[in-house]
Amino acid sequence: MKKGDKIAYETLFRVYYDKLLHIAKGYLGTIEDAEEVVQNVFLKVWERRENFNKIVNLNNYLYTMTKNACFDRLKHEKVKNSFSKKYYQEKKAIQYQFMMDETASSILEKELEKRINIAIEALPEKCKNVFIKSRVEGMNHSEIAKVLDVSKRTVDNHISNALKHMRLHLKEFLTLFL
Amino acid sequence: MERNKILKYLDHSASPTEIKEVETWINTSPKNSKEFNRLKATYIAATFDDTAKTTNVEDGYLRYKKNIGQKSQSNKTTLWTAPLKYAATIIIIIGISYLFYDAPFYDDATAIVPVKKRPQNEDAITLKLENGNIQVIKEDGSSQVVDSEGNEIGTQQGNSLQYNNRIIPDKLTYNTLTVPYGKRFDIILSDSSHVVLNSGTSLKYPVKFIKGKNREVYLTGEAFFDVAKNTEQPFIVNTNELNIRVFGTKFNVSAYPEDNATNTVLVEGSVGLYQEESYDSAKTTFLTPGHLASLNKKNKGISVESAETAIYTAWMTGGIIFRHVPFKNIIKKLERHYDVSIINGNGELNEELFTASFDNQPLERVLKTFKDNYGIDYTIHNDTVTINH
Repeated sequence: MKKGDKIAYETLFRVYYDKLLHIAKGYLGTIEDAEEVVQNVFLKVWERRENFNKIVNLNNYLYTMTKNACFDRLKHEKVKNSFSKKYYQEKKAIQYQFMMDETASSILEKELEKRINIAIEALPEKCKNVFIKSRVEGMNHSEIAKVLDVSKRTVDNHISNALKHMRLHLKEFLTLFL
Repeated sequence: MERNKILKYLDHSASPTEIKEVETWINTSPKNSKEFNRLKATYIAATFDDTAKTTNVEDGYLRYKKNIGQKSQSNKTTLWTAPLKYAATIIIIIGISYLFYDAPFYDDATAIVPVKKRPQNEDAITLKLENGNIQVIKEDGSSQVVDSEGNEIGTQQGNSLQYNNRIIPDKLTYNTLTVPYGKRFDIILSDSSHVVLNSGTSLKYPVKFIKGKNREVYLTGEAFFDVAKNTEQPFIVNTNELNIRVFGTKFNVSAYPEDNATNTVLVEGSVGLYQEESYDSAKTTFLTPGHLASLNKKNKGISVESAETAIYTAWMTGGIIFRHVPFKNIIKKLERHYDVSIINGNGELNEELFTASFDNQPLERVLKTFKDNYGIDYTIHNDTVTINH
């Protein structure tokens, strides 16, 4: 396993996890169901990693996968209490038609994209610079070191800082509100 | 349905009775469920932080790693392949573009702009309040309409604005909604009447109708009205030349100042048309469904003929239908619909009649159809179309 690729997947997970969780919770109603669905979504993403470069819009891809997974889950959910079957079915119908609503979907997808952008934007400038050079321009650490006129070690540090920051940033979030 | 109750339903603080009430309301009509969906989506969009602060990402990530570990027992060859990089790549690209054109989605979707400072809101849907302030309505946002006393009188969500029925006014206060070329907008008035405004249209209406008085609104441009029934309070649409009086019906009015005729098409119910200041049944033309009343602005005559109503309401879904329409009128309609200016370099075409229908097509497609079928050549430069001679 190459270190850089692992970072890419970890980044993806850290940036998207709580946000997809929130959307799934909105669709399904409980956080437990949402967790299961979203974990499965990330697992699928990983399993289909060969096709990853074919994805044009990552945000749309992850959102759609989550929505579809929620849809399937709702479909297969057994009505537990036959006594109030009609009541549950009514509730379910409301959940279904919410999922199918295009206006609602586009509101959620747009907001998701915005939240992701903010999470990325929160990275410190230097880290971001190195991160972009490495991920977007496909340079290796020594090449970046040359271009930015810093030592390779500095580049290594920035890359790992980017990740650390992301962890920290999310942790900050947690402690701030707990 | 009160917005508050729906909010309580969404944040799980509603009582069982309230839950039942909201759910019944949702299931009553597609309109209600659409409204609920929009509110719910907006609510979810606004509460991302709630989940963020209760989520333990570390735990989630450990679980994810474990899941992958189990999966990879079977195929241990390549675990993290090159394409994975694209994940970060795409995220970063989104991040960069964010710098350039992101506008806050949540903070106060309508900015209040004093009239004098920004008179040109030509491309935006605007709402003029009683005190003269003009709010720009953001079609991808939502906002509250608040009166001068701070009472919340309506809610805007995307392309629609709904007035509530809560405040009881002692005098009429008016709002004016203006839709520029190329756009359309929905309003639900305080009496639940639904009005769809076409491009280049402005509608002035009371924020709340006063009990026992006529429900009067003022229209320039084109709108489709679905008026809530109330036989005690007639609903009157005032246009420059013509007044349309109804109790509860569905009809389309086209009253653009630049057009030669004001057209009223009745889809359902009945309407009365009169040109005098006040209503007098003896001087009123009554329409039955499936008919078009056309007021000729020059000689003030009203002619009535049977009409295919779908032709006159196609615009609501983005379509345009022409049946034996002079070319000069078609140009005007296209200008409004697509927000372009069209220069006709071939005057001979003006009075020629054409028949065509388009469902939600881009302008290029419409022009090309005219070219392919009638040999009408054109050039497009920015927002100007020139019809070549």
